[in-house]
Amino acid sequence: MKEVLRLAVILMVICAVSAGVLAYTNDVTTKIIEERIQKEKIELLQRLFPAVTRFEDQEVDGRTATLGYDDQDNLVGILAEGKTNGYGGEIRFNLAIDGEGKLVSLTIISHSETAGLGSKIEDEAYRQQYVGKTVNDDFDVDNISGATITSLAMENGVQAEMEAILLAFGGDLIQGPAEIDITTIPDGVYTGEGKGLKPGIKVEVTVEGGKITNIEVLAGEDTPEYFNQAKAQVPKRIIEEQSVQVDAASGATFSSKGIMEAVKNALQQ
Amino acid sequence: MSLLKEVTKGIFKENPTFRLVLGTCPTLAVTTLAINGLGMGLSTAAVLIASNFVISLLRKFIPDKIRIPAYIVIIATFVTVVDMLLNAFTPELHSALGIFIPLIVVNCIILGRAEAFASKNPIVASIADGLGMGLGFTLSLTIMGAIREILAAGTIFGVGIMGAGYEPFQIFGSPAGGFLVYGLMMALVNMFFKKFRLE
Repeated sequence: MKEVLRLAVILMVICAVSAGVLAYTNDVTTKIIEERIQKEKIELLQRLFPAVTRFEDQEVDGRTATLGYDDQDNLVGILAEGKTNGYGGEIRFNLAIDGEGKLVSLTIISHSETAGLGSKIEDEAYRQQYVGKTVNDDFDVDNISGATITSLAMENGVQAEMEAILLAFGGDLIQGPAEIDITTIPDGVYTGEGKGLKPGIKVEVTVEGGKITNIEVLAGEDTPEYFNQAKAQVPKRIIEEQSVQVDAASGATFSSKGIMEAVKNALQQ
Repeated sequence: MSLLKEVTKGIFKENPTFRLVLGTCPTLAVTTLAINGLGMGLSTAAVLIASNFVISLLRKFIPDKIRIPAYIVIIATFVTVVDMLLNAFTPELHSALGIFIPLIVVNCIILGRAEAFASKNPIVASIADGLGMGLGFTLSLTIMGAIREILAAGTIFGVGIMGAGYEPFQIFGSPAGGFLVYGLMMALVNMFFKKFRLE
């Protein structure tokens, strides 16, 4: 009994001393580490967005971002983390988006892609391909040969996360094509083209008295099963809402977007 | 046994990776690139020297029956403290070695040397043992990393050496390739020891 007690006390002493040492070290280092992280962050922000004079961290829907402001309090840069599922697991990356909604930097935080193949996403030359893109641009960059899954994950992931970040923190920065003011369009019949899953969607839009009165879908190369759903729903919605941005037919997002694009294209002429 | 001998035994005769077969888990996991092997090896060496020192210092205080939990607590504390200090005062070193440090807590070389050597030997000899084992581990991991990197990617420390026409053996970048290289290297080392009757 005495022996057990002795052992327990010794082990307890060791644990107590360990806990004390850990608590003390943590106390001393936390402040230094925090300060350094803040300093590094502002330096990084100023390198990416020279106009930044002030920054703040924000959290929206569980996503955090550092927002940089210039001396007139305009939002000039967003720094946030994104992630996507690659070949070997999660790929985490940092995105820096400037005040015009352009990507100025993509850096990889961590990944578990195949060494020597997928790991090339870390290469400057690969990452540089994304720089300068806005969220509406084509994210089809040169793939890494031998690492198709990684490459596709990056293309889709970077674009999707960029959009999510912009929606959460800087909706105004999305350079979306503005809604068209239909009331100013003279009466007439207009034709336009759009791209669904495949290019070649053609529509004929009739405008009367500043309103869209009829939409005729003339052609489309998408899978008929889905395309017909979009064809049945989207023109009706556009006419109802008098807007070229309406809800897509569920299950036929690409075809729906293609029809909306074609209508917009027609009205812009 | 002289101090120099304590150091050199870890590098060659009692090499932890190929002779004692300690720390196989991190060995297989991190040796996909030469630089990773080097980083893991050096981080382990630093922790090993320090933990051998502490264990040897406390060897008379820790009763035999509870030595294993005591060692684990001491080593885990030590590694965590080193991690925090590196992060606070040498951020460059921390960002280079940081990912290896949590792996060291579970590296059985540390516990193995504490149990087999530091708990029975004086302080200076224990430090020498830690240094030798650390260097031996670093050397083995760097060589394995280099072999796997050359075969799997045609590069060494990230520098291409095999020319443009080289078709990489991707399997060596995967865990299976790690086992292959590990096994073959161990066989070579054993053959060497048998041939020269060094055992």
